[in-house]
Order: sequence, then C-alpha cells, then structure tokens
Amino acid sequence: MILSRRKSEPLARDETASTASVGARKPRIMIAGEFSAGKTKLINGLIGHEVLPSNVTATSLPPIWLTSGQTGILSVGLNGEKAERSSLDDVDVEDTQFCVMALSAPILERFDIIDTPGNSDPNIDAESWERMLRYADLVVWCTNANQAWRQSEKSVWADMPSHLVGVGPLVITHADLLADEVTAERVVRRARREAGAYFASILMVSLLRDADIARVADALETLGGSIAESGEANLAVSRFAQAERAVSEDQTIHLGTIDAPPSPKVPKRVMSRRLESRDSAPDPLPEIQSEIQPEPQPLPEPEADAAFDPFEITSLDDEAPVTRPLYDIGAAPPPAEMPEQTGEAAQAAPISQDARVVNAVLEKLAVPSYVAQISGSSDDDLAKTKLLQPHKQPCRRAPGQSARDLWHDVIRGKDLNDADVVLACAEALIRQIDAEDDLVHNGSNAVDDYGEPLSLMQPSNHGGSHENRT
Amino acid sequence: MPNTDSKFSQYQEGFRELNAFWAKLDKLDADVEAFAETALSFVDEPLDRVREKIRAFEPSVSVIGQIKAGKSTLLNAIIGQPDLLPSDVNPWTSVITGLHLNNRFRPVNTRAVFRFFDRHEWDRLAATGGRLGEMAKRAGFDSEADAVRSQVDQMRQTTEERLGEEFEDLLGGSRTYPDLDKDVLDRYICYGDPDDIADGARDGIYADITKFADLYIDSDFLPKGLCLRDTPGVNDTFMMREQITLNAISDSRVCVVVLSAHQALSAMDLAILRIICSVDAREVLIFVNRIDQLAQPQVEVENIRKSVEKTLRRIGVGDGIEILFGSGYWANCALGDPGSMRQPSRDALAEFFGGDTDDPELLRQRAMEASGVFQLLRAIANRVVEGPGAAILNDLQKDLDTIIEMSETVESVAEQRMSAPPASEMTQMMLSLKIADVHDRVLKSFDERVAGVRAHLVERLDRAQDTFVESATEALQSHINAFSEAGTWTHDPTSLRMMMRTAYVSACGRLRREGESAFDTVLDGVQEILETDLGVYREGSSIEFPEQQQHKAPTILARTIALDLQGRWWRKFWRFGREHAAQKRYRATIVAETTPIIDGLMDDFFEPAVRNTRDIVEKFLIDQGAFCKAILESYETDATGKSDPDSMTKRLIA
Repeated sequence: MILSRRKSEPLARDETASTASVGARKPRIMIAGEFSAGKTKLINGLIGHEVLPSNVTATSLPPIWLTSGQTGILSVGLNGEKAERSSLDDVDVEDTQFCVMALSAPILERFDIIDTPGNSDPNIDAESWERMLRYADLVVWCTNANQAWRQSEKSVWADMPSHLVGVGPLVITHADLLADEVTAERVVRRARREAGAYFASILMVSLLRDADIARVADALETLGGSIAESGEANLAVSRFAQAERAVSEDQTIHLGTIDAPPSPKVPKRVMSRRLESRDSAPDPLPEIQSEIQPEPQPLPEPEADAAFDPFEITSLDDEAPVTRPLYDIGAAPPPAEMPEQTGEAAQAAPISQDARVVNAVLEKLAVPSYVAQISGSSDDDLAKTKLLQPHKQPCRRAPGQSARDLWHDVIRGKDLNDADVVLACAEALIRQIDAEDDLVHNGSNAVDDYGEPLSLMQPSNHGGSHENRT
Repeated sequence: MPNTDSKFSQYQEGFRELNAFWAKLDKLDADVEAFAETALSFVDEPLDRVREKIRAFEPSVSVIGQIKAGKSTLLNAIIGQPDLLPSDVNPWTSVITGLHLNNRFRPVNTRAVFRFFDRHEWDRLAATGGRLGEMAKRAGFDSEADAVRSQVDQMRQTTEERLGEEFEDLLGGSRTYPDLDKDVLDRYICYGDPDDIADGARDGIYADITKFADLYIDSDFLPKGLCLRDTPGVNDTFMMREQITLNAISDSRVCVVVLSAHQALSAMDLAILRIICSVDAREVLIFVNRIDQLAQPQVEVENIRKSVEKTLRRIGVGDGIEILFGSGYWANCALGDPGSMRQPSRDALAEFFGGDTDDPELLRQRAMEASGVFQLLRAIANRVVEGPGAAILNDLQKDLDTIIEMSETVESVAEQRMSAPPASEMTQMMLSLKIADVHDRVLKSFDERVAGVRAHLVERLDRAQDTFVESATEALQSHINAFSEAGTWTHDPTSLRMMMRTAYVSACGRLRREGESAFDTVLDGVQEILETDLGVYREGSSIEFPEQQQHKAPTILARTIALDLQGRWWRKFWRFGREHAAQKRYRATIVAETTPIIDGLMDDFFEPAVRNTRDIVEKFLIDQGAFCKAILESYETDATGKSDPDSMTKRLIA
C-alpha cells in the first residue's frame, strides 16, 4: 500500500514535470468549411500521407480528431460511449460525436488537427461539425475557389464564437482550376472584401501542389504559435493518448526492460514506440497536463504515508476537476513551476532503482517518470500502478483552492455579459460540486474510458463524461 | 468559322421536339386565320383571341442555382453564343435576364430592354431588406437582418452617388438598345468589381437598380418563342439578389436547376429544389455542370448521380427528376476556339475519351459531345412540349370547340330559317336585357359562393396555424421534460406546410368547381334564351367549357424554407432560453412566421385566382351573349352562308 502511494505521488510530479517541459496541450486546429471544399485533402497534405478518405460527393465521416501518438482509433459516441476501432470504415456518422485518431506525423507534434464533416451537407446535420467548435483554438476555413465564400459560409462565421474570429486563415482551395493568376487575384480580392474581417489571413492554394500545402503549414505555424488555447478540454482525447502511453501495457515493457519481470501480455512493439516518441515527440503526453490537471502545486499530501485506502484515494481524486482551473485558466503552464517540479521529480527519483538511467531518458523524452519510479515493483504493483494512473491528475484541492477556482474554470472562455450564459455556468458549477459528493459515496462501480471496471478511475472518468456532455 | 452549319444543325436537332411543336401551332394558327376569313363575324373576336394566344405563347425556362454554378455560361452554350452573357470568376449575374428567342413581338429596333426598380420597390427593399430580411429579423437573427438592411442601404447609396441625377430618372423606367452590345450588357446585368469601379470601370454601374433585362435573340438555329431566363445565384452573400431570384421562381413552369459538380446537391440546392417542387405542374431538370473540373469525369459522374438520387429519395424531394451532366465550359470552347481550353479541363476531356487529341476539329466534337448540352436541349424541349405545350394545346382546343359549336349552331339556325319562320318576336334590345340579366345573376351567385370558399379557407389556415403552434409547443415541452436544457431542438415545419397546402389546394378545387357551376348557370341561362326566345335547340353537353387556370400551390408555401434553413436559430434560441421564455418566444415566433404566409397566400394567390376565374366566367358570358345576338341577327338579316364551317371545323380539329 505504501508502495502504491509512493507511486502515485511521483506520478503527479512527473505529469507536472512534463507539463512544464513541454508547455500546455498543443494548439488545436480545426479544419472546416463547406463539404467538398478540400478539407480532407488539405489534412492529408499536412499529415504527409492519405490518412483520411476523401470523395467528390459528401463524405460521411464524423469529425476526426487527429492527435500525435501511437496509431489507433477511438470513437466517441453521442452517448459518450467509447470504442477502439481498427478503421474508420464502419463508423456511424449519426451516432458518433467524433473519432480520435492517433498517429505519428511531424505536424501533429505541433498541433492537434480536427477534421470536420462539411457544412451544407444535406445528409449531415450542421450540428455534427459545429459541436467541435468548442474544442478548437483556431479554425481553418476551406472554401472552393470556384464557388468561394457563399452566404451559407458567411452565416456560419457571423455566428462564430468571438475568440475564433480573426484568428485562423481562409484557405481558398482548387486554385489549379482557375484560369490564371489574374483570375485568382480577383477571387482573393473578393474574399478579402467580403470575408476579410473573419480571418487573420487568406491563402489561395492548389492542394495538388506540395509547395502550397507547405504554405498552409507555415501559416498555421505562424498563426498557431500565438493563439490562446481557448478550446475546451476533452478528457476522451487526452485519455486516449494516455492509454497509449501510460495505461496501455506497452508501458510495462519499459518497466520490464528496466528491471521488473516482463509481463506475458506485453506487446513487443513498445520499444519501437518509445523510439518513435523519441524521434518525434518532445512531449508524448501533451494533452494530459492541461486536461487531466495534475496538481501543479507542490503536493501538500498530508497523509502521504497513511495506509492505502481506495476510498480515500477516490475522494481525493474526486477533486481532480476542481484543480483543473489552475491549469486551464492560464492556457500556458506556469513557467515558474517548471524548475520546481523537475526538482521534485528528481528528488523522488532516488526512491526507485536505476533512477539515473531512467530519469536521463525521461528528461529527454519527457516520458512520465513514474514509469521509472515504479520500476522494481512486483507484478502486483504493476497492476496497482495501472489502477492508479488516473490519479496522476492528482487532484486534491490545494488549501487555498476553492469553489472559486472551480468557478474560474467553468467560466473560462464564456461570455459573462450574457445572463443566460452565466446561469448555465452556475448550473455547471453546481453540478460539478454535486458530482464530487456523489463520487465519494458511489465510487465503486465505475468503468473507465474503455469499459474496464476500474473503481479508482471513477472520479476522473466521471469528470470526463461530464465534460462530454456539456 | 468552319463547320458553322454542322455545329448549329445540332441545335436544331436538340430542339427538334420543340420545333415540331411550333410547326403544329403554326399550322393551327394558319387554319384559324383561314377559318376567320370565312367565319361569322360574331366569332371574330374569340378567334382573334385564339390567334393572339398562339402567337403570344412563349414558354419560359428558368435556370436557377447557387452562385458560380455556371448558369450564365450554360445559357450561352444553350443558345450557341459563348460571349453573350457576361460571367466572371466571382458572382457576376445580378439581374434576371430573359433571353427571348425568335420572339415575334420584339419591339421595333430593339434587342435589349432594361427595366428598373421603381421607387416603391426600392423603398421596400431598403426598408425591409426583402423577405429574407424580414424572416431573419423574426427569427432572432437581428444581426443578419441588420446586415441585409445595411447591404440594401449601402447599395442604394453607392448607386445614387454613382449615378447622380440619372438615378432619379431611371427609377421605375426602362431603357432600350437596338443592339446587343457587350459593353451595354456589362453595365446593366453584372455585378462589376467594386475595385474596378473605383478605378472608373463601367461594369455593373446600373446593375443594382436594374430589375429585369430582356434580350432578343434571333437565329435560324434556335426555336421560336422560347424564353430562357438567367437568374442571380442564390446563396449569395448579397442576400437581396437571392431574394429576387426566389421571388421569380414562380414565373417559369420549366426550371433547370444547375448544380456545380464539385459540390453537387448541397443543403442550399435542396432548398431551391424544395421551393420549386412545391409548385404543382412543374417541369424540373437537374443539370450538374462543370464536370470538366472533375479529375475523372466519367467515374465521378456516376458516383455523383447515385449520391444525388439517394439524397433526393431520402429527403423525398423531386421524385424522379431527370439528372443530366455536362459542362457549359466545354460547349463554349467547342463553339469558340477549342484550342483555348484550360489545361485541367482539357485533361478531364482527355480522361473522358481515353486520350488527348491535337486535331482541333476532333477536339471540338469531343468537347461538344461531352458538354451534355444537346441532351439538355432535348430535355428542355421535351419538358416544354409536355408541360406548357400540352397545356396550351388543350386550352386552344377548348376555345376552338366552343367557337365551332357556336358557329355551327348559328349556321344551322340560319338554314332552318329558310324553311321555318322565326319563333319569336325578340328584339336586340330585349335580348341584351335578358343577357345582362343572366350576366348579373351568374356573377352575383359566383361572388357569393366564392365568399364561402374564402371564409372556409381562412378558417382552415387559421386552424392549421393553431394546430402547428400547439403541437410544436407541446413537443418543445416534452423535450424540455426529457432532456432539460441539454441537446438541440428542432421541429419539422412540414406538417404545417402540408396542412396549409392541403387547405389551399382544396380551396382551389372548390373555386374551380364554382367556376364550372357558373359556366353551367351561364349555359342554362343561354339555353333558356335560345329555347324560349329564339326557338333554337342545342345539345348542351356539346358545349366545351373554357379552360380554367390550374391553380398550383404557390411558392409562398415553400417559404417555410426559413424554418428549414434556420435550424441554427432554433438551437441557438433554445440553448440560451429558459423554459417559459422559450415557450413564449417559440409560440410568438411561429405565429409571426406563419401569419404573413397566410396573408400572402390569401392576397397574392387566392384572390388573383378568384379574379382569374371570374374573368373567365365573364368572358364566357360575353361570348355566349354574342352568340345569342348572332343568332338573332341571323333571323333579322339574310346573313351568312358565306363559309363552309364543316370543312373548316374538320381542318381545325385535325
């Protein structure tokens, strides 16, 4: 039990440490526009290969959230139900909120990209893409040069949340179909005249030309570098990433290779996966920090040595959502905490064996060092580690932290001049507080994001589905 | 230009059905003319009306679609004049432009007429931003309504500034030009580029104030008496133009809906189709244009066809509409210089035929073939003949039958008179009084009965509105109960539309029956005069009633497009509304949305339909009165005998 507890502590610190080293979650770029405007083609171009199918007729895919990670697909249903999938083929647009698609691509090291079904598609409700707006930090709007900027597009932008207006680029696609430069210039001029107010820049591109795709990527680099992370947190996505890296058995191989006996279930590919992250990712867990809210403050864990008590942990975990504001409010992680956290992680390291080696690697890769810290533990402990992972968003409210902090979290990005919005926020606050109480009392029959019964995960799971609902 | 004849003979071939139809009408016209020469004088006027009808017959085909779907380009291809209607890479057509082909009523020395908005229309546009603006306002999109209004205000201001004193002169007037001059067209019917205008360009300087343009095109290759109408694209950010097009949809019975291949059938296209198909007796075609911009036209065309058909089936709109594919651009290249074809289009054409060609003539042929324009001509011709063509033939037939019947009766009375003396001592004065009596009686009774129909319709419409408001608020309430404030909310306005439509159609049916019963009364009255006063017996059942207009369910019923398109609004309003406020606002909104539809239905459709029927009844009365007088005249004078009605009749009927 003590061991478990020890493990849980470093977990939190490591999270924080990696948060600090990498920054907050990556900016999220949503690619939207009328259907058949070249969104999917653009994304495939940005990714570097054909990850998504595209079609001249309306494409019937739900929104796809592309995030860096080990290849995998998770679908999130309208009812919040999640399922891992092997392909996008059998995904039902009607019932699916969106799919998370993890893969490795250079651009995903910088951004998450959200593909959306086209606007004006008579077979897909606009709601199906509009609901992704709340997660977006920046919207790239694709419009076809041949039929650029129509009222159905303008009316979308007239209603766009204000923090997304004037931030992203208007990408006019299919320049290759225009007669010449003069023609293209006329289209751009009109777009500037009629749509200029909604965008930070206007790009005329041919998706057939790599150079043009690179221009879009450059523009995103420029625009995306300075944007506020205004999009809402989404636990499903961050957990999917987390599952890949932490919950997935892959991680155990690290342990095994370091010193624990390898679990028989361990897939072999883990090493390569690790290599992969070394190649590409400075931060394999970008989402986790901002969304799962590791406690950024030094853990004032009063009963660090107390006997392990699932209920107690559960209750601590309940507070996870409460701590979120500290991270989310400030879009970027507080840099001041960075050294502090790292220091703590380093301090904690000696607890485990082989810490030097592992920490060295971890510092470089920003892999959560709990992996190292629990090394040397038994299989039994490993199992516990898995159970405890959710706690890495550890949680407990700092003494100074209060309902007020929670309130700040709730109102983030909301327009408080609108009385109705304020009411809705109050509602949300009350629900969250109620939810904590509920959890304290019914913490035992929870199911994790993948349907596994994991009572210890329940609190954060609860937070997650809550997130999805609002 | 090489091969001009073969190039254009294809046009004649494409319009063959229509040309054949015109040949038939022309023959009828000639026969009627010949008949009129020998006919009794009392039928002169009805016969003139028939000939007038034939010559004035100008079926109209509207080409409708979103901005930049290629409507103007396609129309240029259809008439074989690639450079006639201006087009541009940006939305360009801003005026409804009627292309009158071989029109027999073309004013002397006139090829182009531009009509301008009058002050009243202009003020109304500026005040309300058009109907769409009104709707937007009611729906709570205050910002959008403001946008429309400011668009119109701004447009008015810039036009006024630009035109100076000319502005006042133009309002409500028109201008005519003896030639179709490109510069002239550019000034009136296209947007113009604001940047260019700032630089002193004249393109589009009158566009904002121009309401209609009529262009007259004469060519041996084109059918006579066809009007093709180009319209400003819908889904324009300049919403007033879209409004003009929506208002004009009812003007043509045949509609070609043009889609752009890269985004065939968007929600906007469906909305257009809904509006068009909500009108009965509509002949609709879908032309998927710009297939030259598909990488693999042939493969993709099939996919698009399947997808479009599937969507139409699913939505239940335009069942069995013919869908054609092609490219106005290819056709225009073929008509002009095929070598100037842009590379991607040329590649697509090569893809279409499995290889490129350097032979300009072969390229021309291929471009024309792949353009699909001739299939479109044929389809248009068929639709015109089947729709408005069949209708006018039917109409003419009835008119002629009645005229012939009257002539024959008079003839036979005159013949009988040779053997028997007149049966009465009727004078023209007495007859006129009697006829006037029938006239008054018929119209009075018609008016009374129509008042009943009207009251019933109003009641049904009100009830439909109440029912819809009830069911919608109830559904809203249960949604609130079930989901609290979560989720989104929509309520399908179809039921309302159906109820209103049913009420309207049934009222029109009753109106039609009232018309028929008025005809009956006319006949009874005339029969009585004939029998008792003139001593003439005629077979009542042989009389053809005049054709009443088909009163179709009007476009206005599709105006609920506002509800269809504004799902965003329902949600928005709902999301932030609280339960009671929402209910109240919801109810008020529905009422505000539907009341003008009801008012418009009554004022703009039912009342004109009533007037129309009344006019027909009255004309019938006059004709029958003239007929009676003619009989009396035949008693009084030696009259007639100059014609051979039997042979004429046979010829006409044939």
